Formats: sequence, structure tokens, C-alpha cells
Amino acid sequence: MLTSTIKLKILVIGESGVGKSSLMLRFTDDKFDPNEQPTIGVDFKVKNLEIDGQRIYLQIWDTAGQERFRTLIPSYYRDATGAILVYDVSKMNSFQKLETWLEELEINTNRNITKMIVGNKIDLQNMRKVDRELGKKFAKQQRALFVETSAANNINVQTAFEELVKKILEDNIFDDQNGVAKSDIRLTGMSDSQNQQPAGGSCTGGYCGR
Amino acid sequence: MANEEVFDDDFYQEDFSTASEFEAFISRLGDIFETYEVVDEEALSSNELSLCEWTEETEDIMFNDFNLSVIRYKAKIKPRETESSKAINQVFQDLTSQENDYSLLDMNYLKHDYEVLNAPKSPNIHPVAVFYGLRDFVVLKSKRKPLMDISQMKLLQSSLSLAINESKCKIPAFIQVLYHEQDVFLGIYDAGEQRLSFDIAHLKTAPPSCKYLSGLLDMFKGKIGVNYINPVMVSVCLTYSLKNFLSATYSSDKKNENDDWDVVDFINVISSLPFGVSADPVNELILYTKWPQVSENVVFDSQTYSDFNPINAQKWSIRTRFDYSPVCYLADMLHEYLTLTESPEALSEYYNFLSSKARISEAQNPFSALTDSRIPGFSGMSLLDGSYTIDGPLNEHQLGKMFQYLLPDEDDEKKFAYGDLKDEPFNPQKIKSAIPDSLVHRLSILLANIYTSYSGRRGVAQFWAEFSQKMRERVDKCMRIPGVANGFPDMRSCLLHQKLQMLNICMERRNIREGKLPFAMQLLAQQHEGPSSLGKTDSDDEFFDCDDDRVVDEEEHAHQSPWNPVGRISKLGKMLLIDSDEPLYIPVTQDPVPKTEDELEDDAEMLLNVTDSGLRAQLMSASLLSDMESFKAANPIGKLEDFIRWYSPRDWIEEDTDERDPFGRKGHLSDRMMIPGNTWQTVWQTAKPVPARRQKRLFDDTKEAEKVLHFLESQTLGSIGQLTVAPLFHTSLIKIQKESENVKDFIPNYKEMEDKLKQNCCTLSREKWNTSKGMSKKKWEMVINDTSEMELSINQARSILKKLYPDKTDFNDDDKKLLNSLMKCYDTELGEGAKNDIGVRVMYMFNLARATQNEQRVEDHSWTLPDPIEKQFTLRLSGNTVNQGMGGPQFLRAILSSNEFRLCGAFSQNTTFTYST
Repeated sequence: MLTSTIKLKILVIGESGVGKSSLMLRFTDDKFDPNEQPTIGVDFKVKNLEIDGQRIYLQIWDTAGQERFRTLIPSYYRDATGAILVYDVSKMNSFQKLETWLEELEINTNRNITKMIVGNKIDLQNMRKVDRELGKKFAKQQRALFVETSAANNINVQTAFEELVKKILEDNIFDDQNGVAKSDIRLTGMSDSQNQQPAGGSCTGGYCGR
Repeated sequence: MANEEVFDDDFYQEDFSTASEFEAFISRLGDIFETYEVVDEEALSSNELSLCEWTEETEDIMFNDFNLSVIRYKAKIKPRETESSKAINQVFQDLTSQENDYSLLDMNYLKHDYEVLNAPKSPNIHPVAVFYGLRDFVVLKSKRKPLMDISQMKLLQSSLSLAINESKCKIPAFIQVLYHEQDVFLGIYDAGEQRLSFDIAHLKTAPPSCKYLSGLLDMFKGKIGVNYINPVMVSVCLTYSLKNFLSATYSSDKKNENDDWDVVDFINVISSLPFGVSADPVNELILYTKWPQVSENVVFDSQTYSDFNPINAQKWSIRTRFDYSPVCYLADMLHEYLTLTESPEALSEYYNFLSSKARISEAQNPFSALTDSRIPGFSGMSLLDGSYTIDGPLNEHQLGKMFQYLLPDEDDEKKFAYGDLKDEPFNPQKIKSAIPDSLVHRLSILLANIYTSYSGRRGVAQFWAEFSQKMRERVDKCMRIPGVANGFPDMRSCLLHQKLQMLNICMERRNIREGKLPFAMQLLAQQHEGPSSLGKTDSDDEFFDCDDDRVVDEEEHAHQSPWNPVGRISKLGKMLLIDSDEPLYIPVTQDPVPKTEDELEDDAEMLLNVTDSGLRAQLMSASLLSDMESFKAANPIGKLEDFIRWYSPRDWIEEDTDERDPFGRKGHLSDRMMIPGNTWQTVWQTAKPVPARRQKRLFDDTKEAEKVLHFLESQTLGSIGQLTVAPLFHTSLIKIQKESENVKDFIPNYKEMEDKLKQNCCTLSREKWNTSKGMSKKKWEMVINDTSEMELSINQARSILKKLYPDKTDFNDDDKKLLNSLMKCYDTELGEGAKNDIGVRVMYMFNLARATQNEQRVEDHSWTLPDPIEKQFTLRLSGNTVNQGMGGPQFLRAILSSNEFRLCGAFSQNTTFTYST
């Protein structure tokens, strides 16, 4: 394994009020505040972690879900290696809107960004509107990882981020020297990774969580 | 040793338990042989050995001083779909089968070690398989020094024989002797009653008795010494070579660098990419004439008379031989252009040069001379006014032509007007460059031509300076830059294209700010005025459908509200403001701020440097403030709650909907919005009711345009190269696609090659340029290898077409199959032998070459072929002998060429009954 630190940029996107900031806060600071002020534009947090002996510097970009910010936010999508698309399991609409967010991603990022779809707020079990299977199926279609979480009860949040990071490490080659992600350097037929699939890989493999 | 008689136990004792080195070797060899699993398989189909994959199992073993490799070669035979009878003895069957008599692959040719880029790899098939048609055998080969000593060979041969006997090895075993490149093998195969011995003779010239079939037959029968009932079956192949193609020689025209490029078609040359090869990539055509199976008693072949007249041969086949060394023009250009990316010189270093030139012709301020315009009608002094020679930087005329092509709207003829710049639908393989044939593409073509064929760096510097200047002029005059996609900078396009998009947006914003028509409407107006046919850009609706119809007439509503609301777009559904019966209006807001990717990066960088998250929220809230102010202006008595209902509906918790009040007025803000002192509230408090058009501009078009112009003017030569590499490769790909149109159907793996090239361009175009250790340059160079491979294949295909189908343009499936096989350099059979159309054409070419050589005319009636370059005779005998029952197969192959003679024999012997009665 590499000894240097790998720098990764991860986006958290989705409709407003689905719990993007809460997820991030739970992961980075293990805190939960039901009354976090709505994000304005974008914000970020960093976290260092170690996965399989590899040191990783995570830069997590939290975004506002409001329609009006849509023109502002894609500016910060650049160079992201992973994206977490969040919906609220108690709000069908937030799930249906994922398609638009995926489109947004396609337009503004590198084609082989590693994606994870997260159904948040499973603590609101009796208000659930989006079936787990539905989310899972959609993720599979989109070749994205899938997990259901609760930032409030701290369920699967850690796993979600870690699984995404693991997948990113699988999907990319990293520069030995400075550990900067070079997400796209796999040239077909020029390295060992000849079997790498075009259009961003085989993300159907992993499901994490319960 | 074991048999040695020992008379005196005391005097001489032999320890029989210790094996000698020799015994150890045999036992080890036997052990290896025993591990081989042998499965009976079906009979080989035609050419199967050349086409299938081969597996190799290698073991190392020591013998005296020799480090030997024991390698088992086995063909991976695909199981047959239909069951067929299996052979009694596979080796015998393979040896007697004529299906693999002639290798599909060009063995002689491929054996060379080419170091040329596009040359194919050596084939997998082992010479033993070629000579004998075997599918499974083992070869002992010395690792380093060749086995030259006769006694060593004998010793090894007998050990091998013992090992085979002991281990019951089921496959033939060979020892490679003499120099490795001679391909000489001695072999043994034990099949119970029958024992086959393989022997190869390799000489420089053939002994006279072996030159013709009659002599070979005598030798063959003499060697066997047993009479068979069946006659000897003979397979014959005569090979002819054609190297002089005369008028069918393929050449691609390339504009010579020394040509006068001030000629009429200058613009055509400079606006297109080169394509082609420096020499005919097909340098030899081989013709095989074959008699696959004739009985010895119906043919005669000796020095004086021969039945083997190629014209009457049962089968004709041809093969191409390629020259892999020609320079591929397109790849060559790309290669050269990449060197520009490493140039550290700034443009300004060339300004001096250019201006000093100018001083010679005219004494005036050099800088202003350089930067003055050459737009027709503009009162600039022309600096370059024909005072430049061709070897120097570009002259006035050339620049003029190039800008006619690049900025066709400035030209009266508008010969090169840009087409509809419609972007392709979403494509994950999209190369991050620009739309095909758009300005950025044309610019890269021009730069590449200037740099590689004409005036090098000075030319690039001059042209770029001129281009930047043109851009500045256009911005000054608010003239839209043509050939650039509409809308915001598209992150999926290259940075240069984004910058030009930005310039257009700046001009557009200025137009609107100054109350002029947006570009698209200007265009429409022009079209209504006159018949001038401009390149249509009708997709500009983004810009002009905004204000007019949607803004509710402010005058009309002004009197209704005491606070004079301004900047309303429309009502938001049926919503009414809280504690009021006023409708909630959506305000006119400031247009979003366009940014190019480098600016975005700076923004992100800046944000990352702010450690306080509150401060970051402040930074982020500029657009929120603007929107709030617009909202307040449009809804003077609106509250934060109303704003949230429009802006972030999920933060408005509606209370039980009252059917009598369907205006969404009953409810409260979400808890998170109500946190005291949160940014939303504080910004709301500071927001004043100011309509969007009176607010401080979030986007300063003047400043932004200046930034772009400065960006253009401050490039180094290297960065100009870097900016244009991706578009240049993109245009190259398009060029290749276009050039391949009528040949791609039969180029092997064309689709795969194209996909790979696309994929790699796509990948690299999205990578940031990395100058350390020439990283990016090296990666693009790898992509050139793909380009060159495709360019060469396309030219090979064209060359074959020119030779074999000089007048044909439509190809049926049979033609395509034939061409595809020739592209693979396969031995390609022509139906009906010499009567085949292609056969006739080949014959004609041979005769034309001969006639030209002898300075004669080609005569229709006396077509002949020259002397063959190779003759091959394969003699086979099997079946019952006259008086010894069933005999083993007997095999002899003689290959005669001008500088080599090879005999490959395989003779069987009955080991159980050796004396005749």
C-alpha cells in the first residue's frame, strides 16, 4: 500500500432538508443537531481517516438543496472523485428528484465519479414512504452504491462514507508521489487495467449497510 | 553399468542404489513427461493450428553443461459442435492431414524482430507445428548456447528415447539443435508398435536431386525401404512474389514543405490535417499456387518437364506483406505539435522579434503596429504588408486567409461560415474539447499547421498575438465570436472554448445592459433586412426570451401598492403574502454568474482557505442577499416567511390546510430556520428592497471580458500548445473517422481501435496538464501510437484496394472477407484459382511488371509468371504395406527457396517385427 496520504473530494447532494449537512456532521464530528441552519451555497468539512492501512484526507463538500442555488453549486463539483446523493426515506419527492441530481452530476463532473445513493432518516420508520428495495433497485440501475442511514441515530453513517472511499480507491489509480487523485489516468490498453470498463466502471458490485 | 560383470566382490564394488547424473536426468525428464495429460481430440480443421491459441508449459532441467528448457506446446482446440469420430492415433492423423499444410500466417516474414511501432507480434505457432502439422508436442531447448556437438546430440537423443520409453510419453518429443534461428529439430514419438523419428535437414542450397519432385520421391522411397500399397500423395505449393506495382503503387499526397504555399489552395492546405503515409505500406504481394493432393503417378516434375504449371493450379491464394516503417503524416504532425507544449517562451519574447522585423519595413511604433487590426475597413496600418518572406512568419495575405477561415463573419464571401453548432447528445466518451468544426477546432488545426509545416514557434506566436488582438477588437465592438457554443461556459468543453464562451456572454450582457438587442435578435433582424446568409445560430433563446413577455407590467401594478413594488416576474401560484391579501410575486433576479473552470477552481480554493464556517456562509450569501433584495423590491410587505415559501418551500411548515384559505398562508418556518441569529435571518435583516437591475452587479462583464483577454494575451507558447492539444486530437479523430469511411468495414479490429482512441482522448482531455517530467506529453504520445496504427491500417487498406480493386467502390461480403483476410496478412484463397477476378488482376500485375522490366508490351495471350521464390513439396504415405501389414505414416516435406533448403522428415518404423519374411 501507499505510504502517502490520498486526497479525496466527495460531494453531498440532494434536495433541501434531506439531511445532507447532518450526515456530514455526524461523520466528521459525530454530532447531531436537528436544528442546523440550512446550508447557504456550499460548505465543506475535512476528515482524516485510515482505510486498509491507507491514510486518506477527505474533503467533504456539503451543498444547499434549494432550487435557487442550483446555478451556484455545480461550480464546486469540479475534481470530485465521489458523490453521495441523499434522499429522505420519508419524502417520496426527494427520492424522485435524484434523477435530476444525477444529471447535474453527469454534466458537471468527470464521467467516472463514484456514486453512492443514501436513503437518510430511517429513524422515522413509521413515516417511511420510500421502500428500501426501491432505493436499492434505483442505485443498481445507476451503478451506484446504496445504503440507508440515520444521521440522528447514527446508523450506517460511518459505513457509508467508508464504503464510498473504498470504492473510490478501487476505481482509481493514485499518484504515488503526492497522493493526489488522478481519477482518469487509466488509459485503455496501456496499463495492466485493460479490463477496466469504460464509462466509469462496475459499480454494481457493492452494497453496504444492512 | 548394471550389466557389468563383477568377478571379485572385494576388488570392485558398485553401488547400484546411487543414480548417475545421466540416470537422474532421464528420470527427471520422465517425471516431467508423466505429468502431461493427453486427451484425444477431433481432427484438425483447415488452418486451425495457425488460428488457435497455444499454451506453453515450461520446466527447467540440467544436462551436463546445458541448461535445458522442456517446453510443451499445445494447441487449444475448440470442442466441435457436432460429434465426429476420434482418431486412433492423433499424431498419425495430424501428420497425414493436409488441412494445416500451409500456415495462414506469414511465418518467414513474421520471424524478423521488427522494432517498428506498428509491426505485428510474432505468431504463437511453433515451427514444429508448421512443419509437421502437430498440435501437441514437447521441445527440449538449450537455454543459452546452441547444441552444436554431434555426440552431445546423440547422447541427448538417446536419453530422450529412454525417458519416453519409461514414462510412456504420449506426445512427440523434440530436441532443438544447431543455431536456434535455424529451426532444426530432432524428434521421437513412440506409439507402441510404431516408432516415428523426426529429422530436419537445413542447408543453404538444395542438392540437385532434391530440386524436383522426381528426385524427392526417389529419396523418400529409398528412406522408407518398405513398399506400401497406396501411392505417395503429394501436395505442392509454388510461391511467387510481386514487388514492383508500377501504377498500382499507393502514395498519399502531402503538401511538400518546400512548395510555394502562397498558391490558390493555401487555405485548403492550412485548414486541413495531413493524412497518409510516406511510402506504399504494401511492399509485397505473394501469390501461392497449390495442388493440395495429387497422386505421385499422375504428375511428373523434373528439370526438363513439369506438370506443375501455376496457371492450372487447383488453388490460388494471395498474401500481402506490409512495410511498417513509413511515416504516418497525421501521427507525425501530432507528435511534432506536442513539442510545442514544452516551450517556455512567453508571447512577448516574440513581440520584439516581430517588431524588429517591422522596423525594417516601416519606422513606426512596433507594438502598435503589431497589435493594430487588419479587419477590412479598420484604419490600421498594416505591419506585415507583404514584407515577409515565406520562410519567416506569416505574411499579410496568409494571415488574411487564415482569419477568413477562423472568423468567417469578417469576410464578405463568408465561404467558411460555421454550420449549426449543435452539441451531440450526452456521450460519456465525450472528448473535452469543443464541437467539431467550431472555432476552437479550426484554431488548433491552423496552429498545428503553422507550427509543424510552416513557420514554427515564431509563426505560432505571431498568429496567437493576432488572434488575441482580434478578440480584443471584437469585444470592443461587441461583435459576437462565431463558432462558439451558446450559453454558459460548458465544463465539458476545453478551457479555451469556455473562455471564448465567456467573452460572448460578457458582450451579450453588455448589449442587454446598454439596451441593445441580444445577438440572436440582431441576427434575426439582419436576416429580415437582407438576403445575406449568415451561419444560423437560432438556439440563442436563452438570452432574449426573458424580460418582454414574462415581466408583469410594472406600471399597471405600481399604483396598487403604496410601496411601489418593482421587478416582478409573475405571481407564485395562488399564494398570498402572510397577513395580507397581496399575491406573492416571484422577483426578477440577477442572472446567474458564469464562470470558467479555472475560476471555479480559484473559488473553491479560496473557500478552502477560510477556516471559519460562519465566514464561509457569509461569503456564500452574496447571491442570497441579491435574491432577498429583489424579493423585497417585488413584495414590499413580504416577510422572511414569504421569501422562504418561494425560496426553500420545505422550510415552510404548513398548518392544517384550511379549505377557505388555499393560499398557503397558515404555517410557520421550520425549526432550523428559526434558530436565532442564523445567516438567513441576518441576511434578510440587512437586505434592502432593491430590484435586481439596480443592485450591485454580481457579474461585472467588463471586468470578466478583460480577464479573458488578458488570459489570451499572457499565454506562453507551451500553454498555447496545451490549450489546443485536446481539440487537435479531437479533430484528428474526426479526420481518421472520415478517412476510414470506405475501408473500415474490412480493417481488422477497427471498431476496437477507434474506441480505444476515443476513450484515451476522452480520458486525457479531462486531465489537467502536468508538465513535471513531461507526464502529460508522454501520455498523449501514447495516444499517438493508436492514431498512427489507425492511420497506417487505413492506408494499408487503401493500398490493397488500389492494387486489387482499382475501379471498384462497392464491396460485397465476399470482397470484404477477402480484404479483411489480406489486412491480416493471411494466406487468402481466391475461388476458381487463376480464373478469379482478383486472380486475373494479380496475373496482370505480374505480367505488367515483367513487361516493364523487359521494356515490352503486355500481351494478352502469353501470360506467365516469373520463377517461383519458393517451392514446397509435401510427400505422404500411409496405409497397408505390400507384405508387412499396416504401416505407419511416412512424411517428407521439402521447402526450396533461393537461399534456404529444408527437408522435414517423419518416418515410422515397426518396432515389433523388423525382419521381413
